Amino acid sequence: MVSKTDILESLKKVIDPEIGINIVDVGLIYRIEVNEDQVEVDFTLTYPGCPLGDQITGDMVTVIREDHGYDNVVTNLVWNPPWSIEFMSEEARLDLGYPI
Amino acid sequence: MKIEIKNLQAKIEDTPILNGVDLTLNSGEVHALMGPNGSGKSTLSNVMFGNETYEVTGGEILVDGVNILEMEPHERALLGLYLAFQYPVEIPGVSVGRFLKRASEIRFGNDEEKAKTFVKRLRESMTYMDMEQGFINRYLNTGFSGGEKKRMEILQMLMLEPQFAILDETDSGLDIDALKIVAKGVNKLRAETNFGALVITHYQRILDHIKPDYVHIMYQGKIVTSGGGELVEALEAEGYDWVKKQHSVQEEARNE
Repeated sequence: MVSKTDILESLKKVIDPEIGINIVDVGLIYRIEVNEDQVEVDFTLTYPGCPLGDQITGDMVTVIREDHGYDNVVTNLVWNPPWSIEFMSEEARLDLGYPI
Repeated sequence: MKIEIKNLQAKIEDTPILNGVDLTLNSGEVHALMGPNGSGKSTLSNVMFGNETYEVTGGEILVDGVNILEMEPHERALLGLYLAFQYPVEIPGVSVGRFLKRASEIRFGNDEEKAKTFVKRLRESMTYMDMEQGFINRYLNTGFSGGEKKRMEILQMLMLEPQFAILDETDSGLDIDALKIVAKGVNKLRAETNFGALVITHYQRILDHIKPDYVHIMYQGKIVTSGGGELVEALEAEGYDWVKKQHSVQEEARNE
């Protein structure tokens, strides 16, 4: 059985094109649910109206299919809680020059 | 890593400072380099790292058989050499954390484990060096006290794990507590990795805490005496006068 950690590892291949850092370290992934035939991912974007939603969604579906063979990937764009800089990994914050 | 310094000669403007230095250094060994003011100790470290203020006029420095004198400073660093500056530079705008992370990425390349654990290792090393975690977010050396800057040099060394480091008077201006912490950092690498160091100092004090395997005394741009720890005690007891005397006797004999 594929674990949430496996999915998370795969999602690290998806780069937020605006920031240049993968969406996991940016802190965009809020929830992962793995079932027999379906993976469900709740994710957010750094700000409402961010035009990258479709691209990130497409990339997530692709890596989960390619890495784990799931054809049924459900992605939910959520805005609660709103993303903030503390959701970023410490490494990512250092890269961008933010305090940790 | 094996560093062979052969008949190295260098000048600043028109003043010759190094007059034929011969020295062989290996990872796994700690060497102390002592000598009176103006004997050329810091010049040697500057020349080893390619400071353009100095002009090399003869000799060579081989690292594992390759002459490094034509290399840029960063290329020398990538070989696994490290210099702890005598006067660390302040870099406003670049945080300690960001600086060390980038340096670490370059040093360790695609080592994913090192990248993933960077912040954890940094925090551990800072705790080990008795540095406040808040330093991570401060601009590099900016507004640091003299002791904090020196500690920062050793923290950087711990993070980059060089194969051979030169500590250019890292002990100068440190109180005894700071000195012990610096020594602790050096001894950690010494115990855990195949690490070597050249400790440049005026004082025997630091060598009580970093026990050297070899001691060299520099005078008038040359290594005039080499030995073990007992040399340090001799210097402590008699000062540099006997070195000067012995050296001038040798010079006279040569000139006759």
